[in-house]
Amino acid sequence: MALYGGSIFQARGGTFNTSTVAADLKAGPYNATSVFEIGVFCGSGIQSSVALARATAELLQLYPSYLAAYENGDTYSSTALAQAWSVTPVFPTSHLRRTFLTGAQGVGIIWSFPRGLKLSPSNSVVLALPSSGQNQIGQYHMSAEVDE
Amino acid sequence: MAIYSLSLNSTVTTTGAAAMDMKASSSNQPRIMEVGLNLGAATASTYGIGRSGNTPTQTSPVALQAENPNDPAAQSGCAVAWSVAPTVPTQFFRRIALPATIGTGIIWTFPRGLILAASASMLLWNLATNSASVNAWWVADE
Repeated sequence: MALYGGSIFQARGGTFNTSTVAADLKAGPYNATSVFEIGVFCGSGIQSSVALARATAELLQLYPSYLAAYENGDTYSSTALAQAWSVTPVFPTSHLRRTFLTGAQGVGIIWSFPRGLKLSPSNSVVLALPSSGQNQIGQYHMSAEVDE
Repeated sequence: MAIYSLSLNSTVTTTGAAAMDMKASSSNQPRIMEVGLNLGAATASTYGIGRSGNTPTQTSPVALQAENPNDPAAQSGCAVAWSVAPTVPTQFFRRIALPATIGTGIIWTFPRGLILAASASMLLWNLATNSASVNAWWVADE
């Protein structure tokens, strides 16, 4: 088992639609992954509502961004972040974490899972945008740390 | 023992009432490891965490989710409505006063776990007329 980390940045003109999935972290097809930390931060001053949830089905990522090893010499990670998919993900209705982010650049949250949030092979945890009366993030940075 | 968690949104603003609860089943005694909350409306709010004075009856409780999908289904559940409402805790383990800013909040952790007796509820209690929207999550070892 080794530690890997990574982050993505997404910018869109305007806001995201509510009740959508903004990003996912997906385990590789042959190994389970333990997620120890997920961070989300606003890159623009738009107040937002974000949630962390398990994907309802396998997501087929477009342009996945694979995590990097913390130690040189460890094998390449098979866990990847993505913000586009060949099939639009279904918005999950049951959430592990939810937070509101005020309308200021730089606000955010880091969720930690001391015992690890387990992802089975090919399964994802998603950053979802609930419809809670808030505008959604125009830009965000998302980071993850996993043990696989 | 395995780790389970769940997050819900509550719109209960009434002072002297529960905004949310986590309730153990009749056959388990979960350990609450973490409670987090943050405001979705710009209203100065004061909350407390404490054991319910009675045994409430939840309306449409949502079961906690396993953080390892290979673990069995959770026995504990959370709710934001009740047919038998929770009564005020005699003592609060934690209290927080939050300013009128969307996104402000707190994460409380209990490294050894805050144990909930069978069928008992832990409440997120409104100590004032609070925000019209609050997200809260619960992490439990059951």
